[in-house]
Amino acid sequence: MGDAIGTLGDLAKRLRGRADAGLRVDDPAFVEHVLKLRARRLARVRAADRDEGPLGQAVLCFRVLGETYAVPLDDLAEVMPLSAWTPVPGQAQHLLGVVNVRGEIRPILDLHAMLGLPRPETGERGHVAFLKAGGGREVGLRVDALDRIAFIDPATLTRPHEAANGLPQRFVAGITPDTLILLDVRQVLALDVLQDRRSEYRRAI
Amino acid sequence: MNTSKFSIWKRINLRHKFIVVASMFTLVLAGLIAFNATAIHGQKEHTLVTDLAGRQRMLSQKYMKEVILVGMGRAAETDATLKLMRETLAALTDGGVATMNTETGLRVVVPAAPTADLRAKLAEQAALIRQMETEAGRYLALAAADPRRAEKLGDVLAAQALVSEAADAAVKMYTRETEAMIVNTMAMQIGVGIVAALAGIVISWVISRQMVDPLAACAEAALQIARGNLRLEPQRVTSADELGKLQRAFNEMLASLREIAFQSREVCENLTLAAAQILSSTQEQAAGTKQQAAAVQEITTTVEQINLSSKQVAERSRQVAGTAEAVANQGTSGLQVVHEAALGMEAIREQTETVAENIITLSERTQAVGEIIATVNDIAEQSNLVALNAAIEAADARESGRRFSVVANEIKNLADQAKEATAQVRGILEQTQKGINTSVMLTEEALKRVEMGREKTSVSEQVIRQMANNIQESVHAFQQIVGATNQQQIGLEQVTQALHEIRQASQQNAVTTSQLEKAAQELTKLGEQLAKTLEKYRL
Repeated sequence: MGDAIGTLGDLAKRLRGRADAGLRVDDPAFVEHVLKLRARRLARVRAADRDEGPLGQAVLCFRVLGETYAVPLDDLAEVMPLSAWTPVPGQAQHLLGVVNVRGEIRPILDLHAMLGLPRPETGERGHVAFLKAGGGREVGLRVDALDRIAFIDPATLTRPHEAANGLPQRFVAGITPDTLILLDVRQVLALDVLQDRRSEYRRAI
Repeated sequence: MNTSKFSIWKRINLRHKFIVVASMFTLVLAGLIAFNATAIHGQKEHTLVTDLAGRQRMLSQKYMKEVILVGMGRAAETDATLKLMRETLAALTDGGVATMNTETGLRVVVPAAPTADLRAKLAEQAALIRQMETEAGRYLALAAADPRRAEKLGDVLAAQALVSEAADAAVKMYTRETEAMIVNTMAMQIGVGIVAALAGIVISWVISRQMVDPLAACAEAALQIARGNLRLEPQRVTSADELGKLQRAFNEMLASLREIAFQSREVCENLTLAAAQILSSTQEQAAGTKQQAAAVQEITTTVEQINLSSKQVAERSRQVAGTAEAVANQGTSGLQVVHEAALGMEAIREQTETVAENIITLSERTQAVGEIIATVNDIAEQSNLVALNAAIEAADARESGRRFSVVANEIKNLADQAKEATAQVRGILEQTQKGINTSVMLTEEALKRVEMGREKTSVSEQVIRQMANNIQESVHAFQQIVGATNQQQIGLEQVTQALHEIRQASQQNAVTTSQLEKAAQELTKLGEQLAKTLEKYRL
């Protein structure tokens, strides 16, 4: 009982303090706290920009099942939230479906299936990054979350297929020292499902 | 008892038996008397007949005298005399009525002549009387001056002498007859008497045997019992009269005596045992009495100590009663304080309710802020996407887009900052919401506790009131204790007095116990003597 009364009294005191000082914006301590936070954040971003900005290749970082992957900024057309897609029957597992963007029908690839990862829950729709596939076509990659734009030095990349360490990573172009996995866009676009097979079919006929 | 197995004689009681025996003796006596009377009557007849026969001589002489008188010319009744003689003779011969006395006219009945000799003698007498009459007639027929008269008179006298002789002979015969009859009667009387005496002896012997033998047996048995022999055969019941009852009663007496002797022997053994136990108990009691005296001494000491302590108790009780009254006054002021506490609790409850309402309002506002923050976050996300697309476009533009990419990067940084800020705000809001939830719960808890406090306050009020009442009762109780302690002191003095009396009584008890011990020893001796006495009885 005494403890409860103590807690109650303490709470009342704090409430009264809040009511007195409160959420008023002109509270000097509060304003100072907010300004300090902002200054720290601005200082950090500037430093990163100054060090890595002019050097190396600009890449877009995104997350797939906890890992951070990257695609060169030059190969990207645009990014957008993935609202809904239409599954295409009779196609490979890594073709998630098609999506209508401003009147264009674009294919969406499932990075989870391509990398041999388990499918995420359907509740998480995530984002889509469209790659320029040449010929004015664009191919979407479904990712969990978009992260940031980074600059990497291609010289520091570890290339698994060249290192001949026995890891046949088809879609991996290289891995940065801070374990950023750079995807090989050309290999991605070379997938069978994206090829135009109509000429072959005509020949067959 | 079944009396039918005895004969009728044995079923008659003694009184009736004696009556029967007396009747039998009376009958015998009556027979004897009758026999004697008969014999005397016969004697009397014989005497009468002998007199009548003797009178014939006198009548013949009278007749002679009268004949002479007539012969001399004087008047005389010769015919009457003769007639009397003839009538008497006829009665003697054939039996009948005869005139005993002519003057009085007494007539008697005589039997006929018992023997033929007597009858012949009487017939001869009759013939002689007729001859005498004839001679007398002839005499009288002669003239007075006739000389033959003297001769004739001699003839008459001779005839009269013959008649007189015949009568005399008849009398003698009658006398002999009478004597023979007397002898005969005497012999008969002797015989009858002997028979009656024998009958009496036999009756007496039989009856005395029936009556005396059982009595003698009973007397013998009584003697044996008096000598202590109870191992007797029971008497045989021989009749249903008083003797039979006596035998039966004797048998019952023997059985009950045996039973009594058995029981007496057992009782005597028990008595001896009990006397021994009494003796030992008495000795124990003597020891106990000594212990009792010591205990009474201790109790007296203890009672005096109790008396002292009860005085202290009375003093303390008085003090406690005073203290309790003070406590009762304090309880009243405590009641006032509790009442004020209840009022304060009510105020706390109202304020806590206000606090709860404020907290709920705060919670709603926090939720509104959260929604705004969500919108801001959404805007930041879209800004981020726009910045990324701008960067992509800038990269597509190569060298000409280089400066644009910087702008795009700035925009992205701003969007990131906005997201971070919203995340921080969301965190703060979540903590605030948690705090509000906690506050709500605490407030509810506080309300409950205030309610509880109110209840407890009322309970406290009741308790204090109860306590005040109890203390008041305690004050009364302590006053009663003081009174009771005073009474207790009086009672303890009485107890001391009583203990003194108990001590005296226990001393008397010791004396009595020693007397009792002696008495128990004597009782033991008496029991042994009784046992010896009872050993006399052979069971």
